[in-house]
Amino acid sequence: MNGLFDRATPGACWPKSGPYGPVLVIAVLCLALHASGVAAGELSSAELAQLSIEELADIEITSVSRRPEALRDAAAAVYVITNEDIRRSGVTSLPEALRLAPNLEVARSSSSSYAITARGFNVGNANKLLVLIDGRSVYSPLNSGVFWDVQDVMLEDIERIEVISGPGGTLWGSNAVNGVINILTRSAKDTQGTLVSLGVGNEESTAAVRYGARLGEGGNLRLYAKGFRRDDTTTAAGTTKSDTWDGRQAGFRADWGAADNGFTLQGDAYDREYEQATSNDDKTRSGANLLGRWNRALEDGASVQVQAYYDRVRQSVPGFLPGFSEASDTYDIHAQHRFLVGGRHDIVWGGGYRQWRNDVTNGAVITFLPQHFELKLADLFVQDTIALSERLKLTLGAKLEHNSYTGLEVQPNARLAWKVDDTSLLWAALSRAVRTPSRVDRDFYVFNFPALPLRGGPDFQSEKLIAYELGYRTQPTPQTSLSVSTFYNVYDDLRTLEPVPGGTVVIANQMEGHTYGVETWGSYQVREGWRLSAGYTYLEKRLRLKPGSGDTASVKGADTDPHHQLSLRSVLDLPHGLEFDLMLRAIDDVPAQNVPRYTALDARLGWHVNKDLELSLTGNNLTDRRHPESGSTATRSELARSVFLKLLWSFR
Amino acid sequence: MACCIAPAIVAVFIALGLALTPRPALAAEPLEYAVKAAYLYKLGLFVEWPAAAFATPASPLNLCIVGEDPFGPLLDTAVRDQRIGGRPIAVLRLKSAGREAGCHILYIGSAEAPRSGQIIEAVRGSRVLTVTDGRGGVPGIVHFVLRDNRVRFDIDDEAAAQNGLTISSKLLSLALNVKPRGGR
Repeated sequence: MNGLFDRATPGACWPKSGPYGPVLVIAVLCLALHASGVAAGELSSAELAQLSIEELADIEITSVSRRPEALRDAAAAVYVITNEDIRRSGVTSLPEALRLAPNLEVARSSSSSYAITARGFNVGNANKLLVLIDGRSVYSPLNSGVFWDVQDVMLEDIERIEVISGPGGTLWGSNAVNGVINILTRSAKDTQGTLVSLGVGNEESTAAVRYGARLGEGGNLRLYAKGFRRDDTTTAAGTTKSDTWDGRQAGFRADWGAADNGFTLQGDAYDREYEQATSNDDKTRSGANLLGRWNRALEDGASVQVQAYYDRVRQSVPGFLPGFSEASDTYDIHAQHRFLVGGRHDIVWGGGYRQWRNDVTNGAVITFLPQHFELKLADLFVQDTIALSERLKLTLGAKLEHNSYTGLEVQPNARLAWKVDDTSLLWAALSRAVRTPSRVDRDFYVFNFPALPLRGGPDFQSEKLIAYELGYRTQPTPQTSLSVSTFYNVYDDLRTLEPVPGGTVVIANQMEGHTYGVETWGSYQVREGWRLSAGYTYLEKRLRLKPGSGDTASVKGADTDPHHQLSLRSVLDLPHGLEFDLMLRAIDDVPAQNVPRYTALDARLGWHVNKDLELSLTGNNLTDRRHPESGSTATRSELARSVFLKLLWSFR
Repeated sequence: MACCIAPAIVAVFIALGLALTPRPALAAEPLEYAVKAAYLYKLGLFVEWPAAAFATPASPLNLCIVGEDPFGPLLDTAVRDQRIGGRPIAVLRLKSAGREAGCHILYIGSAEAPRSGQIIEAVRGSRVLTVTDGRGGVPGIVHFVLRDNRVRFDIDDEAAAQNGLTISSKLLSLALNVKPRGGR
């Protein structure tokens, strides 16, 4: 007999499982690969030998992660949203995709505005979350927030989104206080051929096309263009807000060589137009960026990376209130070098320089002075991961950053990771992170707010955090995975509004306090083709004014976060190429903002018509006629039931 | 202070770039070849050789690499302790391959693509599963391709018939492209 000869009929799907033992190993590996969503860069021959031939066909062979360790060994609370998660959820924008991360608060306040953060302090310009798209920071130093309405990528070409809750100051720099979101797009090599996406619904319509092809020897290129239109929403009172908006975006990405040893060039250009209630003229935002990244693998496992980018943003808000426009240009260059020493030390070090140039044209009410400002940032960092033993790793690192506003900032961290056994990891971390001042904190002037002029404080300092974290990640059985993280955050110099003699209110740093909470998530593979996942977070905040503060609004103003958030997901493959996916989320109330607790049910029915064509019908907020999520009662939007029909057509 | 730090940092990194003498890394990611090594012997589970291809029921299955070997010790580790139909697997590295070599699986790497046509012709009709890799050569019975960041393969079942081999329909269903046997 020459081996196991299976006379299965052609086109048969997955085989019946053989002996339980190998299936156990296979499932553990598959779950680990799927749950972490990262390339299996460290599978040994023995592990590969255990896989069936179908499993081999599924292993991603290049590591897109720039980080030394596989994400499943990371000593941090990391949740990875995979490309498949995004497809199965039926979402049409980046902020909506972020709802998939249980460790994030995502709240929508209008057709185009979102409040997104981790571990508390969620407002429209939440300032404690750093967001990067392919290594380019999209956090704006104008208001120390992220303009979510202009951050867009072709969702089908996302490799994965890494959502790290907790401070990331050492590796990622300032403003990674409560978390870091890393949005990574696929290499051009993996997006060949043409993809057309068309969608229409009762609240939005979208169109996108992408074309990928080879570029000479060893190079690959993709080009894309997309556009959308989103309709207006209604207020609590039932009136329609004038907040329709639309956008157009195009871009490209070219890669030569491999992810770890090659060169990437990418860029995008976009524009947005927003209807305004207060003016006949539309608000506009536009921008463009160009990024180059060079990776070189060196001998003995070492590597070096250099990245440089240019980013520009233009926005204009016509009308009396606020009647303002601004132009920002960012120039950034960073490099890092990783090397191993003596089999025990894994050292990454690097640094860079960024210059942000800002020009504003002041309106009658909103003013920044000086009108032209250049923010210069220079940083150096080093981090050493020391293998104390085969199962115990200690990471020590620090970043030194100098910025034009506050001078030198130091962000050190220490992490300990203990591989309890082959499927479990226990970790602890102690970090310091800072949120540096924005132009709003320092250079801002508002008149008639509400009765007194408000201005930025020339002495406004960075907000500071010391975070204590503890976490555990495990796969108790081959079909289940579980992650639990707890944190205790001590904040100092949080932003307040201080009245000063002369009838002005000045932005200052007179609030402090602590927050603590738990984040947990897990998944269970019920059977082949059906997976359940759940996530829950709990948050408590205890903030107080420092002695001598005259602020009257900030403690209550920081009370913007629900205590509990729960999400449940089911992803089910049905016969004949059908897919049925459900997501239920239950969010606790925010009494200070008058946002009641709500539950939202989203469902998606997908159909693979053939190899190249996929149709899907997605319904959002199915159980509730309307609910609000964030913002002040009078002006915020209530999100209503919506349906969306999408066609995805690929051909090579 | 920033004015002095910035050029200093840029200078450090230019120096870094120049001082490090980068050697060309491995021609391809190690994991790609680890996966291909696992494939090489697993393919054997889905192929039927005529009984005459083996001297005795206990004879090893000969896995031959002709020319440049992209696997190295990786392949030996992968096949150690593996068995196909109860037979152990022997890895042979040859400079050239003909019918006398006694190969059951013959791997022709991408570096050998220029002479792949010649090698495949030399073993046509003998019971050899030819496995090719890379672009620019003649594809063998099994030809590795990378698709969507994964290692996949095409199968030429016509060539398998010419070499006296029967390929399981399960393996055919896993292939990206199949050239069917004449008459189907």
